[in-house]
Amino acid sequence: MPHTVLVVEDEPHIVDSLSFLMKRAGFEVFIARDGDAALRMVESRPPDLMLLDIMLPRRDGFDVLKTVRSNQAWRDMRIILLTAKGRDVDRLKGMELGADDFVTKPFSTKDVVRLVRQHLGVEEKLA
Amino acid sequence: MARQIFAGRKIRHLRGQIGLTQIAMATKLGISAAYLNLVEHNQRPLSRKLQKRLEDAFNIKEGELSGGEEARLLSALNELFSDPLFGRSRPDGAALGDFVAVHPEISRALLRLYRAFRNAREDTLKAREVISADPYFTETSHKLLTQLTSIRSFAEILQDNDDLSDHQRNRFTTVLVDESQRLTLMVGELFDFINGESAQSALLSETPTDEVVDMLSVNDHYFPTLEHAADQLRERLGDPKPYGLFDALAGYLDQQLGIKVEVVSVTAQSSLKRGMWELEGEDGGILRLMETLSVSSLNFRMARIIAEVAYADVLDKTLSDVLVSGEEARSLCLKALGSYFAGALMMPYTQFREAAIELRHDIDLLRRRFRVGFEQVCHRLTTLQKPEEEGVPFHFIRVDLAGQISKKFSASGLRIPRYGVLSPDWGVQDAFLKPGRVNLHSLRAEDQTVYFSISKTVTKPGTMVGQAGNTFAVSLGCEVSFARQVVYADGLDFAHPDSVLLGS
Repeated sequence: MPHTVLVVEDEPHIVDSLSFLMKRAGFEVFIARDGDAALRMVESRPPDLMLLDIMLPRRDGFDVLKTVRSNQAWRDMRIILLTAKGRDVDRLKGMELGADDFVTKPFSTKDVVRLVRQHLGVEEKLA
Repeated sequence: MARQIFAGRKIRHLRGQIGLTQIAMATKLGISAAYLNLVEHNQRPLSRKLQKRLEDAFNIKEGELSGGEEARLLSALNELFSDPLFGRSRPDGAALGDFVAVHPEISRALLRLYRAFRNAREDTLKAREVISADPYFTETSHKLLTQLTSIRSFAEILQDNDDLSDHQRNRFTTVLVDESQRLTLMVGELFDFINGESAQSALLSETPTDEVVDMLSVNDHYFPTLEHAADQLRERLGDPKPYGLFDALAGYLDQQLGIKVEVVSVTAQSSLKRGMWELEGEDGGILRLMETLSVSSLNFRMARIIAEVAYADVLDKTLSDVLVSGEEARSLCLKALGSYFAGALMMPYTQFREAAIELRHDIDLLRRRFRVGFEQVCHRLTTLQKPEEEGVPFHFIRVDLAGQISKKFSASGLRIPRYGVLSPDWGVQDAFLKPGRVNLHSLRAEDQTVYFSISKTVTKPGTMVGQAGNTFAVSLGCEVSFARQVVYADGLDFAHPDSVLLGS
């Protein structure tokens, strides 16, 4: 069974590129465009890892993070925040709320894939 | 037991200042010169009685000799020099004590200066906090980073994946181009916002944009040389009617300046360098304008290019009396003057002023008569300040939904905030609640002057198919004493201006 990754991001092009790369890396990918949709998806099928943007419509990333971390059933879910350069406060807050890691926009997709692999304990396939 | 006071250094300094010998001072104080000598060398303490005599005889502030004032100054200066600003270069205690004793006035001045510096430093920190928490800044930086992330992601995907299908490669390349265009527009908007094509007057020019503001203000928002140049050009163009201006300007650009005008299709254009327009080639060339621009915007852009190319000497001369700090400020001022020229060409002073009076400043009627935009009419109304032929002194403000000010002109005397967000109390943002309708407001300024103003939304066209344009609220206002000349104020009771707080 492949690992599952939930991409929570409202910018369609970033969703497009991340899901393309995650699929290429062998993960099963789900997408949520806002915080409410993310929580619905977590409830119906908790992913192994969530890539979570902070600035989201309706319910922001912090709120999603807080809700997920308050439920013991989801304690093993890895959460990587997508934060913005220059927003150190967001990063600190996210880590305090229980995020496992963060990447900073404008990030390199290679770094994101590497980080996801690292957190899921998956080794990179050699070409 | 009372503290003994040794004030020899101060008394010696005082005597030197007023040019008395020890004998003369001692005589005046009714003591012996020998005793004064001992006091001056701190061999004897300053008695209360002698202190009183000195204060009375030489008009010395009470407490100055006893050291109360000196101790306070010394403590304040010690605090001053403990500021990290001074690092290790602090005077030692004894030197500071000597300085305070001998130069109390300079010490006080130094403290005043330090307090002013500390306040300015705190203001700067506060401003930095306000800017970083500002919704416009937060949203714009988020958008910029998101666009950059998209571009970087797809560029990496294209670079790292040789096995992409043609369809995937095309799709990702298209995304890359689209995102780059959006990024270009966003950066352009950001610069427009920072530069602010125009603004309102202020006491000090702190930024190049402020220098534009001050240039307009110092000239009362009226530039006779530019009016004259615009009139001359109209004459050369055969005084075209408003609906013939496009052809006249395009013809002049082509025949006189060697610049071909192309109105490009929104679907055909790939990326115009300035978003809505671009000028290719410096000596002659092609002026490309986006078809989504209104005719008035097309005319305005052409007129401004003519000003910058054919009337550069007039713009330079107009600016020659203005002290600008550098190239950036100079370039912004020239841009503002070019815009002024374009407005003057499209709405000739005398005709426009007469029409404004005849139509009682009905903006929609004015824009129809001159075939110009709502915002262009508002701006032109702020420039009707020709001596002996003045119009109503208006102010004009443009804000976005968040209240961010992107344009401001004030010939009315209203002080428009220099930075940041316009308070909702001004009522300008109310226009967003009733798009396209004219809203009326009154406002009592800090100096108790009451202003009457109208506000309305204006929408700029998008640059791509399916892209919504940006909507702004614009406001035009004047002192309430002029409101009777404005059609929108009809029926309002200005005898009780406070009661004239209105919706639409």
